[in-house]
Amino acid sequence: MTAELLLQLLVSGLGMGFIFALIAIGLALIYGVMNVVNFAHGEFLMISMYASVFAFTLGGLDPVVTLPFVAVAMFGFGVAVYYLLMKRVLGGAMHSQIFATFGLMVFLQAAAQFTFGADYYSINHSWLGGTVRIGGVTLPMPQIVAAVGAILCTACLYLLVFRTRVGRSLRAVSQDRVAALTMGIDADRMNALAWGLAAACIGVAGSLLSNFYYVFPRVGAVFVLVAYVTVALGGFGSIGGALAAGVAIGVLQVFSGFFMTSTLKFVPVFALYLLIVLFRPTGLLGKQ
Amino acid sequence: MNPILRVENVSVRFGGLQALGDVSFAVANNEILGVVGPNGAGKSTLFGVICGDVHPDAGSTLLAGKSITGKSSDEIARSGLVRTFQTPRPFTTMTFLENVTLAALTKTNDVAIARERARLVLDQVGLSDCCDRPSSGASTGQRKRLDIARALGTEPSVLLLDEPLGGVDPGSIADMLALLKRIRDRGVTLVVIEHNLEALTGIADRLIAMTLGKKIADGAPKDVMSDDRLVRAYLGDDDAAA
Amino acid sequence: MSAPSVNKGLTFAGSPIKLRNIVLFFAGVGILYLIPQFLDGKPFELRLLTVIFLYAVMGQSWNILGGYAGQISIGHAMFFGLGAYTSTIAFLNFGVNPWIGGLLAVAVSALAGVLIGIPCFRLRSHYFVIATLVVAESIFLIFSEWSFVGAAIGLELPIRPSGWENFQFHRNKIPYYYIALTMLVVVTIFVIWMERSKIGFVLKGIRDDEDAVRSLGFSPLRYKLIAMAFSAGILGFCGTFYAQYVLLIEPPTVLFASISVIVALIPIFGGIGTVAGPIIGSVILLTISEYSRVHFSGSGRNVDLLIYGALIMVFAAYCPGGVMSMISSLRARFRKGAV
Repeated sequence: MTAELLLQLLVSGLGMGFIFALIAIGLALIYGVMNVVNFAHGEFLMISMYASVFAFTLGGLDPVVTLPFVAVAMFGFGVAVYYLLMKRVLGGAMHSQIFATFGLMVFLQAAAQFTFGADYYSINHSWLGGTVRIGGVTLPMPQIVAAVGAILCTACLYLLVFRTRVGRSLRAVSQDRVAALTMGIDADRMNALAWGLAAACIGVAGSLLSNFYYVFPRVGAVFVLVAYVTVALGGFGSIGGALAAGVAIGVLQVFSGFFMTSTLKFVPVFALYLLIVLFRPTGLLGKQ
Repeated sequence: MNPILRVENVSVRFGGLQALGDVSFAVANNEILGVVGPNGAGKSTLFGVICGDVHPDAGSTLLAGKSITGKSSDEIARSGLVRTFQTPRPFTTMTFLENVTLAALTKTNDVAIARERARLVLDQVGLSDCCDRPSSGASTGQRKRLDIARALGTEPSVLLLDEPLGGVDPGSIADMLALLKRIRDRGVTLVVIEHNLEALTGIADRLIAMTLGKKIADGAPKDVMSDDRLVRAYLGDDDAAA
Repeated sequence: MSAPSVNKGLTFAGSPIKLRNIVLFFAGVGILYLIPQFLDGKPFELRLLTVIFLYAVMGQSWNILGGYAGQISIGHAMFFGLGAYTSTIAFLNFGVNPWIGGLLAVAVSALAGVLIGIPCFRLRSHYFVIATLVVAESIFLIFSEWSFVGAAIGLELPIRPSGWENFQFHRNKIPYYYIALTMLVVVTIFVIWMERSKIGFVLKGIRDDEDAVRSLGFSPLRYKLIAMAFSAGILGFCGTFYAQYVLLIEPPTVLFASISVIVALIPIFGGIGTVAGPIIGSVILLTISEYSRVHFSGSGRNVDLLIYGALIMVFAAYCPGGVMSMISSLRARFRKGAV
């Protein structure tokens, strides 16, 4: 294995890793604020990818242009899911919390299959074609844009959560719900905001991803399983943890994909999930 | 005297906090031992260590002369030492009777036998009227009794009670104390954490007092209650206790 | 009202049982055994009833772990798939009779369940759910690549003459109906027994409060593993039945996530943690699914999942107890109205 190849794998792993991180951050955000795992998270991604792909094939609009619109629409979608579905199961039995988002997952996946069929769609000849050569490493342009976009979006989210008033309320709810309520924070709005932001992150991730990844009804399942591992690795509910873990997993799956057939490349990632939750349930980066 | 339960030099640390420091005591067979001390004194941690929920950093615990240190909590319960919880935890989808029947199934595989035993136990604790009611609707006092009934259902030799009077309405305290005495008269050894010191001194044979993870007094209830270290511990003068 | 301390009436597994219920149960079963006499030349109805029985059994098996013990798995397709593969591979490679293969399937699936359960049962709530999901997905991916088990193409069972000894019936499919119905009767009686036995009590205790169960002296892990072995083992035999019924197994049909979804949904829809729940769930959901398959054949294979997904959401949000809880609350209202 040459140094160039190693570097090539490392860089493309990092690129993918930032996308994983962005997906996982949304999951971590919802979990942090509401203690609920969104099992439909992957289907949020699928929706935003379909939106980007069809905006391109039908309207000729590049994902770079539609990205902000997809993000905003997804924000609204996330808020709607909270008010119409999640709010109702919030105080209920654990199994109804699990099955609410699980049902949403099944529904959205089946709806996609019903509407678009099982075919694979992708964007050909986007504005961001071609490759870039840096040193001995060749990188496709869409992946670079994806990595940069994911980093920017993560940075914005970081600023929002850690440097603004509303972010402080959001963190207050996730740290101590009861105390936050007594301080007059509207937990309902914070929950809705968490769902909205999480879905918006997914909207960005989906738009960036659609430039180089095909979309099909079950595309979300591939990514969301990795996102669970990412969130477990980073500590459930930790945004910083999700970022670091996403990057690490991006690199891991590129390398394992190099050594085994690409279908099996996620198996070591899944094994990692079991190892983490069994031996360090708070995540590698979470506090004990 | 052959003690049924011995705690020897037990220490527990949670990070930088010394939750228990070198605590030792023994409980005589068929005794009622009260454990008193302000909040944060380490009483619940002590219970945790004895039941196997908390693993001590040093020291050992012995039940009837056999070491139970480091054993899992279910193993310890099977060897005859059972606890109740500070906040009662009934199985909420079950009736009172089913709660206790489940406990009695530790001693038999026959549900019919366990159910009969559960009826007897519920009768002992004064809950025979509630047998077929769902436990989710129970009052705090009923929950406390149900928790005790459930523990008794396993036919323990030692029972650890965590604040059996907590949340019990004042009118029922005498009943509860009478119940504890009856349980002792049936041959069960009781170790009781309780904040209602007056009530506890009424039934305990002996008290140990704790503060800041250390045992500061051990003896007859009257002596311990008048021990000025305990008084100061409750008043919050921490230096005096150390 | 406290029951008399000595039960003079009938008991089953240590608990009283009403004679009326026993009579109704066996009368119902008797009628179901007679029904095929009237289904001559009605292959759709015969198939519908057969799959309703099969999925009711699968729902019962999920319910043992998910409904009674409260351990929610959304990876149960793996045990179904393992069962299907076990008997098929035993037949193809070693000539093992499918009936023996079915027993092997039970053993392999139960063993796999225990091996997966030992680490995973240390996890709680969503950690456990995700663990079942990733294990099932890993097994799916591995079987899709592994040439010994036919990889993505799967395995085809060679056609043998119709007959009970071969567990294959070609022109007349009624024997499959009888096998599926017998599975359902046996498994339902088993679950009724389990629910009333010591195991059932402990499992329900674990669902309500695992730590309290442990404090009484039970090992929760041991009982969860027992529940897992029952649950996975029963699904293993269902897998064999499926393989013998369809005569073709591929990862997407026997290991895929949609099987895990349906297996969990049936008891949730019908009534989680009840004996009748999986049966009611299977009757309603499989009827929807089989009719939608006829009306939207081809492209619309997924209409059933679309309806299922919507139903899961609505039930989780508005009726977490399923159809059974609707029935009992209606009954309560009816009684109140009568008084």
